[in-house]
Amino acid sequence: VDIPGNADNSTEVFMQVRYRRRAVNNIGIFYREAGDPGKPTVVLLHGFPSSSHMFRDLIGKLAGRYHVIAPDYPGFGYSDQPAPTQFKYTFDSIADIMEKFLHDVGVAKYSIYIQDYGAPVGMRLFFNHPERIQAIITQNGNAYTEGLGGFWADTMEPYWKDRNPATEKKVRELLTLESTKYQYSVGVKEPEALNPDSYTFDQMTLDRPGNAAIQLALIYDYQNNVARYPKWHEALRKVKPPVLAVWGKNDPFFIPAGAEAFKRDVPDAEIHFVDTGHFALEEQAGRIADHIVRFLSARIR
Amino acid sequence: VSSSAKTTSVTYNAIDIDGLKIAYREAGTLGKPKVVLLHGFPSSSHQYRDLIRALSDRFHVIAPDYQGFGNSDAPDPGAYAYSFDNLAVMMEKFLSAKGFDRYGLYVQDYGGPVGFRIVGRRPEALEWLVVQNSNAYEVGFTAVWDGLRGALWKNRSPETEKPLEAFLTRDTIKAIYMQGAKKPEFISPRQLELRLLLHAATALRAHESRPILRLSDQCGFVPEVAGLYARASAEVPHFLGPGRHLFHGGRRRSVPYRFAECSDTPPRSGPFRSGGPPRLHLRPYAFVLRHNGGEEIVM
Repeated sequence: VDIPGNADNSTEVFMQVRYRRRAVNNIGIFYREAGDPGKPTVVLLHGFPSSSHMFRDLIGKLAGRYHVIAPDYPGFGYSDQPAPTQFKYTFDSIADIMEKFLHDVGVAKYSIYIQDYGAPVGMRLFFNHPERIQAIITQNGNAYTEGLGGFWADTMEPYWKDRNPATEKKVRELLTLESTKYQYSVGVKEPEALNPDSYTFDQMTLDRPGNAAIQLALIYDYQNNVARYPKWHEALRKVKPPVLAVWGKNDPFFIPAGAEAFKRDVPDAEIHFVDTGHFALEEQAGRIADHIVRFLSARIR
Repeated sequence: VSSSAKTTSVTYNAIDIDGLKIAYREAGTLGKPKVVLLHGFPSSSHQYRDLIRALSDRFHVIAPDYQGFGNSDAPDPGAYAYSFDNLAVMMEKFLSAKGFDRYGLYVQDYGGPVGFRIVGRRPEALEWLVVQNSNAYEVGFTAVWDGLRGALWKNRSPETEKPLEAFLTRDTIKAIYMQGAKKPEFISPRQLELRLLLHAATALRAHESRPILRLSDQCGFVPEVAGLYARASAEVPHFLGPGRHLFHGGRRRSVPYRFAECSDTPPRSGPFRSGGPPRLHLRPYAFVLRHNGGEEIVM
């Protein structure tokens, strides 16, 4: 009897997640990698205030069929958090460093999974090099004004219009444990399915000295994402990439209309809703993985 | 093929035991054979996050956090006596409350001193035992323990307590995870960070140092444990490292009681005696379970 999973079995080596880092523009970028690099690559782009940690369950479910890479942006997770004087915290900069990172790790063509902040990062990758993007999988990764919940007008727009102590106070609340916990728990159907590691770890990264300034800079810059939406729509209309939306329908930040809107520019986009919240993978990783596997099997080689 | 078919979802809950919140992870199906996973220092049920999923389609799995660890309550040590006896009593009550009266037990590190106390009192509860790097023998202590065994446990003073300071630092915690790892890139750094979170709280430092001090209870052979093996109908599986050295001609040896620990020297007598040279090089989560002589499960 041979015992699988004990010897240096190459399949198993690919299945097991590797925790790696590499320097990109002198910034240490941490990433999780799994699966056979010879298979199609799926790049997982995380949201606020998380990191590749939010993909811990999904990675294992995709690793048998795909080469999976999930990097942490500068200032998030285990990547370096250079001071804002050393690194300009904008979505343009983050997209640039992710583009260079993917080039450096030798990934030429890939699908992107975008959630929350992953959308403005991933849509820039798509806009700059549509030929590299094999498919766009959006999970509460917004690119349409229709998708913006009331939160944006209440909290974000005042800060974007006039950055002052009063408007900043409201935005700073987003950096508290209470808010982080809310982001994970709102819309969840089975509270006991929510792993407390999720918000516990994210909050720890937010609480690091110097991190608040980084987050505030990005929250301020987010207005440039909304301003960029029309250009992304134009590119989507022109290129018509395979688009799969699997959207947590109880997300108050990015509402279901944001998923439906992709159909306007990519008519054959597939839109699905799962009965959970913003961080849909916490409760529905299995269902979402099934959608991804089915969709990519049909749409990419 | 559905990629989710193999995974039963894990739930994260807590129940009240003697006024303390005991947090636990649970997965699998009611009615399936039960497994209890008892964690080590300085971790929590978090250390079993992968194993729980791997076992969940065949077992009803439960993994509690001891008081003072993970997401369980951590009462002030001034008001609560942290000892392995008390951890074990709490876990015994927890298992009863959850209806776990007969189960397979997986212990690592602190899980041994906790679990052995429980099944020592209730040998009928133990269906089988997996011992992963949890010690119950003098020969299992390495030189790392000399400072505790030779000094602190004999005479507790500010001077002999000094080594404990290092024990709760980031460097030591990292070493606990990294030492001996064949492929460091497989070790998730989050393990380290979550421990750091716990250790950031000064109060917790005090909590966690207490069980270490009381670990002296485990110093030496525990007669209770030997008796347990003799009495219980437990089948104790070997751990498998690369695994092959535990097989003769490609077949498992069928010895009713088999025990192997992460030690180069086999126990010399008693029911723990191992039939072969236990040169085991363990890898996390690579083992064979055999349930009541029935199906063999290879992870």
